[in-house]
Amino acid sequence: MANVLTACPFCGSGCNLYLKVEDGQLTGVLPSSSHPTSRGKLCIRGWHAHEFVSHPERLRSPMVRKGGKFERVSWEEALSLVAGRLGRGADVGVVGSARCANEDNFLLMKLARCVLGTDNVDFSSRPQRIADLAALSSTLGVNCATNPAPELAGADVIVLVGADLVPEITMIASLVYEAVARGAKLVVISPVRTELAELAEVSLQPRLGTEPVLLCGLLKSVVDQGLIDSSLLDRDWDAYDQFATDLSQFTLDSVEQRTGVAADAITRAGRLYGEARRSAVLYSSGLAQHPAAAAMATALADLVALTNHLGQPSMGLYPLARQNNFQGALDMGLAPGMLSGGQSLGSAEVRQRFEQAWGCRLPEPACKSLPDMLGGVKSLYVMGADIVGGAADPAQARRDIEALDLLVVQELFMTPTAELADVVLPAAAYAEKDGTATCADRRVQRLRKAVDPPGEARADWQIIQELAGRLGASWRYDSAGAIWAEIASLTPSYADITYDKLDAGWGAYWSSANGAGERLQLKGLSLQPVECPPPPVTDAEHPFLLALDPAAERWTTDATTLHSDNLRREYQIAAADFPAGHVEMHPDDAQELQLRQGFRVKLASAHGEAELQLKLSSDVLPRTLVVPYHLRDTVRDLFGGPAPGQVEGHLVYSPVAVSVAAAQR
Amino acid sequence: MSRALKLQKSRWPEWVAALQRTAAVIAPVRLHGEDVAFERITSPSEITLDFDNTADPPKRFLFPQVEPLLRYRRNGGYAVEPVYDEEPRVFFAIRCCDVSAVRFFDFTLGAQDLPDSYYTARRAGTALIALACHEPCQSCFCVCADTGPFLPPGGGYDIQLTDLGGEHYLAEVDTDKGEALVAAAAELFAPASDDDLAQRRALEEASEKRFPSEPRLYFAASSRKVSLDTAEAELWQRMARWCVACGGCTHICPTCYCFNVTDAQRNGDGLRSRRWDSCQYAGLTREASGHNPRPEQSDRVKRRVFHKISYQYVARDGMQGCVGCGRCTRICPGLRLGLPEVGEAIRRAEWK
Repeated sequence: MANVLTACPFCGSGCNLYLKVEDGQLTGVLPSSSHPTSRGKLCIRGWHAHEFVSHPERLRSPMVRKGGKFERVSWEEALSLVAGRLGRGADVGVVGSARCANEDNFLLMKLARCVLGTDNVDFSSRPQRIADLAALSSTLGVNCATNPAPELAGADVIVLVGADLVPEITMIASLVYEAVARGAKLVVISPVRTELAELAEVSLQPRLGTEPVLLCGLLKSVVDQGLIDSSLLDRDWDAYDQFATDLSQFTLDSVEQRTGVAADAITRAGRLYGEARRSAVLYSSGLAQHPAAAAMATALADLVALTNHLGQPSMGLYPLARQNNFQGALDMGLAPGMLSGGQSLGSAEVRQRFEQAWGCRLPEPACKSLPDMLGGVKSLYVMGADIVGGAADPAQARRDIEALDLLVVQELFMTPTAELADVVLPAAAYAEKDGTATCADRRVQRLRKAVDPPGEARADWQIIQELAGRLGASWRYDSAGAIWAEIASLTPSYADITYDKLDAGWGAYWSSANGAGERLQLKGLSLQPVECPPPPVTDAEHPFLLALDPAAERWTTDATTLHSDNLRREYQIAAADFPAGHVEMHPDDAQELQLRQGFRVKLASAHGEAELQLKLSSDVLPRTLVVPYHLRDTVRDLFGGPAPGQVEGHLVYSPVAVSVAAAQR
Repeated sequence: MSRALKLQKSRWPEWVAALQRTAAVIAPVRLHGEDVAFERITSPSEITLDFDNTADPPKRFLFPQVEPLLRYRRNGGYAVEPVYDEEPRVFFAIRCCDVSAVRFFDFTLGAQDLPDSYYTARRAGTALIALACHEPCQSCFCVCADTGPFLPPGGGYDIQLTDLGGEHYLAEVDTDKGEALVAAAAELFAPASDDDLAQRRALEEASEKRFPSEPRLYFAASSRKVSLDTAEAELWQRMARWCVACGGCTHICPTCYCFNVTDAQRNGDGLRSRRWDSCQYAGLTREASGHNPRPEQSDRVKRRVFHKISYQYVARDGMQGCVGCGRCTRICPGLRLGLPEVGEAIRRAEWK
């Protein structure tokens, strides 16, 4: 039984585990005892990280749609067909994945820019993060975690915003547990009560849609209590005065009135965060996928900047990622207008360096993100991404994809997106290839091959190289390591990272212009005003507010968890209990309406109707309804089309006022 | 039956090499960083004896995380062929707590009245060479569980090694299997003297003294409260707030054996396997009707503790289900749901 050390393929924590291998088969996992983040622990997903790899439904050979049916074909035939029919320039789009290795994503990015001549490059989970990451950049100058995750265990105060950490990103929750066990105080801000709120010193539950207002109240309380430290603001008092003036409307009384959160609780939270030196702020999908994500991320960045809680151990800001290589996919330049390490495609110096290294002309920036590509390109090349499953509007995404001349999908399983493809190419899973991944705290780690891919499946980068060869390129990468050398040579932030360095310890942190390595030292911050959207309004006819909860059961629709027996069972419990889909309601409301758990209810808004089953939960506030994000298609009509809100072409679902009644049987 | 021999310390690799001629040797191997785990070795040089205890017990070699049970093929009806693993194996340098856990498996999975044939097939060819402990681990409590740091004759080992501190290991041979292991390289062994045995007893006493004076787990008191179910529901609920339902405590536990059975089919060929499951998972007990007898995580936390230390199981299985290895303390993402921590909370009826 060999033990192959690798990074877990599920969330952005970056836990390390050993894959157990016997006779060329994966037979289980063992957590690494000494990894700094996972510390000998794993979550339920990590404990089953071997399962999907050896699932019998893995794609084993290339397939081409002929007469409406998939037929197995040779690699030769499949790649020739793709090379012959894939568009060029503005006609083609390329989509990578936060699930693939850095080497795969980098080569896909190079294929797009160097061979296909297009800037239509993105990865599937980026559009929903555009708003919050851009907001961080505006204030802090960086849009990533400022500190290593293990430092969270040493924090004295931790503020969690829009994060249901335990089910979502378990090992980060574990670090929070460790801090709390040491005596740290926890501040939890979420309209839906989460498991960690049980351990919180202060738990703030604002009304749906008023989270940005609450965060402004928190900022105001920090300012009012004199807990700011201006040293990071370059003593730019004019800017500060303007900022304070903008905040002045958020008196705690008015914030209490708008959010339903008591003024003294906000004051207490502000004091806890402001007074403690080691104060860290975490947020996750509940903020990132919020309709007002930009406002909320701005407020948090302002909070960190105002208090100078940066640059020292156990401080800073952690935007958490739910996918193992989200940060890496960003770093590899899978975004329009951007090359690796955040280098701008519009910069003459950058272009020259890449063109010289690659011996090609780069396309001009086109800035088409994935939502723009759908409906805007003729052919689409997709690697490891379920666009339909991940789209804000799956039905529309399906229509857009069906209208394409050519869809190529490189995948592990027959996902809803692969079902629509013209050509399906079987790819190797994380355990079947070498490479690297960059987890949410910027730690770059090795992925190591433990077993061979099934059937004829190949590593993503090998498939891309083969295709590039048919399109006239003559790349000669003999290993993932050869690609890594190129990444490091062209990407300043990754420049000093080698496989040897990664192998010697537990990976390495990439650095940036803002300071090297583990902790980002930020200078010259600029406080940004927080633009709070108007809070949603109910009326007598529609007395309830309904929102989608992105945190809930994130893993229910993921191909990897669906192909792991125990995980599938666990994540499908709600679906089995509530076959028609469920909406969460506070028990008091249910009693008033004479409704019980499991009842089918009709929800109606000004735009339309939807039917679901009732799930009673004290985690939601009275007069509040929550539907898990993966049921967004079921409740689509409540939000009304055209889209109620868009960020960079990415649809967002703002809370909507609805009525509830028992459905007619 | 039992007899005591001596083995020159520098020569254990020769013995292991001799054992490798007829069996797979499973021994502690240093992996990355500080990680040490049991692995099938290819050469004695891979073994490390510089370890407190391995990250996981050698459970996988008797009860794998994924274990094939039978192959089947459609041929009008079904042709079914069980898959048994009878490979001869030697667990080398297994700690006393883990030996005791194998003994527990022999009572449960190997129970006379209802043997698990997959387990008994693996177990029949498996021999245990224990390595007694001179130092407690960071979180272990075998002294409370009465499973170590040394084992008495009949404790479940085939041979128990004790580092006598000088040039030799004492090798206590307790079974026919153990005699066969010695016979593989009889020239390496010499009879032990009375002084050696006195030295062993002294070392055992010294080792026991190195454990914390306050027990990590008062088994009798906690077991009584758990058996009689006198712990308040609210106590379990408060504990469960620290549980993330990862299942780690059960996967890493040397005595846990819950499994799920799954079929994998491709082109008419099927493989039925069992996989580790966990009482910490809601789906383990959810019935087809939708009813779940353990609806809350607190029910599931309670369930695990019940199965470890409730007297009904001690009566049925002949020993309690906790061998005091302390791994559940280190594996817990919530940090506080190791059995000692939970047992202490139950005994004191408080959870801070």
